[in-house]
Amino acid sequence: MGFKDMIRDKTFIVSLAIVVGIVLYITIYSSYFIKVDPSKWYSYPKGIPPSSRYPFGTTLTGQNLADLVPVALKNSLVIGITTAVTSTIIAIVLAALVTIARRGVSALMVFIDTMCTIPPLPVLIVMIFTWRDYITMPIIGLILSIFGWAWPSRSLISILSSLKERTFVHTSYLSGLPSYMIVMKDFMPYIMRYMLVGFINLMLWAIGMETTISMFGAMKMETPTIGTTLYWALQYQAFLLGLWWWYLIPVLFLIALVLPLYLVGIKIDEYLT
Amino acid sequence: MVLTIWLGLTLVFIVSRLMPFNPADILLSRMLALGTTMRPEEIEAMRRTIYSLFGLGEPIYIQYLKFLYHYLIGDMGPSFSYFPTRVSEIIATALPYTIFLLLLSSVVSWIIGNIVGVLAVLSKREKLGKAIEYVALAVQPIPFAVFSLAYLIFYVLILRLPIPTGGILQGKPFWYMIKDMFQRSLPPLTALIIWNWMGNFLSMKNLAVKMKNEDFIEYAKLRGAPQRAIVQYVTRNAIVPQFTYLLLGLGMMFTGNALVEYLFSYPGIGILFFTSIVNADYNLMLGITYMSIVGVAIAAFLLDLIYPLIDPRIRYPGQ
Repeated sequence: MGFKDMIRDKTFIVSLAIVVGIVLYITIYSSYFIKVDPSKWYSYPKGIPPSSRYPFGTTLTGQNLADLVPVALKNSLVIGITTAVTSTIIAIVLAALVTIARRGVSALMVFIDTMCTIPPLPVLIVMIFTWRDYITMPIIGLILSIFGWAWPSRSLISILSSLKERTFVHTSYLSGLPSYMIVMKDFMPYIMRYMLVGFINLMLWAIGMETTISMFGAMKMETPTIGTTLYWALQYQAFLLGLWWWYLIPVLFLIALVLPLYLVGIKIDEYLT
Repeated sequence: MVLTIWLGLTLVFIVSRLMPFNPADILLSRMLALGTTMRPEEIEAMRRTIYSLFGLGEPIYIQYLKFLYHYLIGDMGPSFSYFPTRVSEIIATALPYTIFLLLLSSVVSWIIGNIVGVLAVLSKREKLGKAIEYVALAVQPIPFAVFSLAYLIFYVLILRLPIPTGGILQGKPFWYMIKDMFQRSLPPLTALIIWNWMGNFLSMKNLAVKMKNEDFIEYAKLRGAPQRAIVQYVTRNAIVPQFTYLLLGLGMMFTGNALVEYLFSYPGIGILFFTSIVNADYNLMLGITYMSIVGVAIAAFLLDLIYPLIDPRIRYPGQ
């Protein structure tokens, strides 16, 4: 069970290929092939079903879905990656603090537990709603990571606290290695694998959270993300009017990205940890 | 519980002071935009009244202490969209519904997930267990928002079932209220349960697989203990960490809860939140944020009371 076995696993390779393929498609398409800014309304005829001219159809707000979907997916992905990066860093720092600190550990633990119980949705909605004229997509990712770090740091602490009792950590402690070096040399190789899985889970969480917040209408509504696309589909009654392409195509793209990503996470978990 | 509420309050305070604009000014400009004719002195007097109502124009720590005091006694100022009804009154009608739905959905899906999880590991039909696991794994990463929308379309357009609406509950007997709440919560409840049991199922399955290889289970098998006893041993030992996760996960559950309430127009916090966003009602929003933290804290507290039953090693002082 190692890295070599993992890259021979067919499921892993196929899922990774799908993820990389979709990421490449949305970055290349959204930077080279879009003629009209998809956030502008009424630049195309309204509500046309998929045809050879408009492969994914157009919305009732006059946007071309073939342009809209890659940009929306890209924005959701940017939010997910920003959240995952910042939350992972916060989680690692906090978990390391709890593990090597001698005083104030219980207070910190209580703080982390409390942050787990606080419902993130309302606070995030208020923050994003009130600041929505000023924020960009990476900043939304930063705002989401206010809550994103709580769960990963909790699981990380439980891993680290069992790791702390291992003999080799005691050896390096007794040999006089400074605490930060213990964290870097002894803990890091272990937790990197867990963090890789945690990173993917955080990305999925952030994308889901963004979709939920947008469906409440608290996002920057003119910026295309998967959530805002669904929100406008909901507001324009696309379900009752039978404009299936408006909501189905973004959702299918989202699932096509999220499912393989999750599978990659599972495979990493299976082989490396 | 107290700590959660205090931390939540501090968060709400920080969020409210970080707003890029002043909600008091917005309220004032809205009242003026209604076309009321007032003399300048009156406008100035009103501005001062509203500022004192919001506690602005004082040093930040006094604002903080006042804010804590007002929120703790439930005085969250007037709502903008329902002016001059107080925020606390509006939320008080919605909060019981939300706590009811949150508790019911989380507990029911927790029970179902745990039972199915244990049975999937210990039963003879391994293929069925594997199949359920694969389905759960495949569905798990899809955002709940997408699933709830799909469920709404399925429920309304394909099954053509009605979404129940309610009458006035004031003055009705208690059991009638509970029955009405249950009836109204049925569509969102089913959506939540269908989704949430899978997470519990997967974590229970992981725990049970580990537990199955423990020595005492091996011994029980060799001793010839009946299947039922083995199931009981595994469940009893795996249920404690599962319960901790149920408690800590309530905050996360709330997200799905609010969304489903809004989609199925269930009269809880979620739909109120949507109204406050549409009307840019900042006071109501802050009040809802605070009260949803309180609601989750109350739900966690209620579940916490059962903890000693689940884990007999826990004793509270005085026992």
